[in-house]
Amino acid sequence: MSRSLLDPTVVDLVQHEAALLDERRLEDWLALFASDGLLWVPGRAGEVDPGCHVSIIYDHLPQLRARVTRLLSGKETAQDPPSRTMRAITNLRLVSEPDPGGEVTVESVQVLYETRGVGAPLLVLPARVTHRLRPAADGPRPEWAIVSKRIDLLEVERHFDNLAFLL
Amino acid sequence: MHGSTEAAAVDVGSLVLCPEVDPATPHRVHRRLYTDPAVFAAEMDAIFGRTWVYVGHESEIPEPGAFTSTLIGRTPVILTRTDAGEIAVLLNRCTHRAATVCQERRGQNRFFRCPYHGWSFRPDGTLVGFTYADGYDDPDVSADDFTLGRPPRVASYRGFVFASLAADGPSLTEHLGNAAAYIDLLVDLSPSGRLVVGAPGESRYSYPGNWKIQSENGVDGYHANFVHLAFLEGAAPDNKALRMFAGTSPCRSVDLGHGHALLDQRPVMADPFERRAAATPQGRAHRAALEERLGAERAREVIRTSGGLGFNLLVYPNLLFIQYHVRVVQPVAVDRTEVVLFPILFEGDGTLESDELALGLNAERLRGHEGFYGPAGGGVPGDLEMFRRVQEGLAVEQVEWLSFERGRTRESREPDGSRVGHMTDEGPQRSFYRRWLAEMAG
Ligand code: FES
Ligand SMILES: [Fe+2]
Repeated sequence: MSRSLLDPTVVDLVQHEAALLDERRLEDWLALFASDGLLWVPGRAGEVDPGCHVSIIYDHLPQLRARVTRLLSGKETAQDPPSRTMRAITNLRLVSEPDPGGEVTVESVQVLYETRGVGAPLLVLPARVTHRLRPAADGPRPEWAIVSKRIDLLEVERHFDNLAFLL
Repeated sequence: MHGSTEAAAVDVGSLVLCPEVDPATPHRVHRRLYTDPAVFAAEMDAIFGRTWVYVGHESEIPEPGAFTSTLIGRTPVILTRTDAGEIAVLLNRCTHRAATVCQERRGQNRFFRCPYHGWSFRPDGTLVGFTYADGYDDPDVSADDFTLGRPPRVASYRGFVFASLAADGPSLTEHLGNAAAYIDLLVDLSPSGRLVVGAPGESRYSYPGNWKIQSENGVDGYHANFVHLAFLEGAAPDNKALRMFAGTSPCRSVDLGHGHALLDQRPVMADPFERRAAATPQGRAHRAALEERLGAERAREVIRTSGGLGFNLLVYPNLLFIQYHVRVVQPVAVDRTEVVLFPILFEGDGTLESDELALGLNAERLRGHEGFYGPAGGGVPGDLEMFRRVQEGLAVEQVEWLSFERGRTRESREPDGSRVGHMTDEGPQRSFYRRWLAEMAG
């Protein structure tokens, strides 16, 4: 199923999304999501059902918007000072051919580095990230809208410190 | 367990100032309670080595051989169900040469097989037999001598299982005291009366600070409007949540005695909970199920109390019931703590109607939990940041004391022995440290 040559607009979308997060342009990042968009960080490895298993994050667009508002409010104690992040993206591959509506699923391995310059040393979070993308007619990135972004953390069972920043 | 020599090295009487012991002093706690490894070692012995500690929920071990592993203080234990169907708590330590016999968090097996030399233990802890048994031909050595150890006392209350590493002491019912009625309220909220804890998974977090900072904070009504301001402003446009934690709040903090404590949010939340239950078909079905099982009056009380954040309950020393979860505070070192939050979900009674109701309510509870709790929730990270900063500030040796005096002169005594103060008062923490002092002083 995977292709060696990915549509460059898909590659661009995934990298652009990571850059917006690293630059903390969260309003622009939010605009990448479809109106039914979802950010999901499962709370366990293997078989998982968000209807009966607790997640680390399970945000549809309204909750995501509230999260961004809170993070940008300047009043979030957990983000004082704010996180600085870098994301390395690799192993990008298409895992489903376009469906009749043109939606595709693309998977990548991402290593997220995070620091706030206080307290804990550098946080390193390897994850498998799965994007479900829908062809989009408008928006800042006209090619694709994010229907869902799922982040499977490699160390999902770890006792994490403060993860207030956007994964 | 740690030796009593270490405990003896700590003069606890000089570390907690309490006007009931010495009327000339204010309520103060010394910084060494959070920074001194000798105090930590003494706590593992005098508190976690003696008192009732929560080890899991009966729904986690529905069948013989089902198990979960956890800790009592720093002692690894297994909660399991024997082939005879009884609840058992085993010390997770091979009776041969000490390897842990179980490293998974939960699962199902017929035997706990020690990986080192292959000894297998039944869920009741008995050793099946020696591997390469011909090496054990000494008539004085028998497999019966190698049963896994057990904490001397195990008891459960409404499905919540506790164990004590001490042979004597108050019973679990005596220990829970006034806290038991609040456990009743949250259990009774289940439409079928049945709960599921553990199978839905857990939220886990950690912080570089002492375990007591989390026990204090779980019933601290003073911090919310400061630490969680951004969340509360976003969550409640009518400022309901902000009002609940304000200096003018009608809500109460309650010192329940025995070190247990409560934040009682019902004066603000009870009406909204009842309205919410009336507003949707799911809410109405929930109330109807409760009325059928409990009668109209109790059903109403339960809905008004436990519809959500009706109360925060601290069960001394390290157990909290908050919103939809049970939270276990796990001491790791004097300046490192791990915390596990188990969402409490409902189980249907097997009929389609009841199972569907449970499913719908559970989804609501999971989303409600994730929104604030867990390491990436809207609230917990702020608390973790404060815990980290408290421990950072404790490095200042020149300022020795932490103050827990807020509201002391305005608290009232109730007939059941509890003390009631304002939502933002520090009565819950005074309760905790009174018990702490009594236990540590032996
Ligand atoms: S240590 Fe367990 S079998 Fe040897
Ligand atoms: Fe808090």
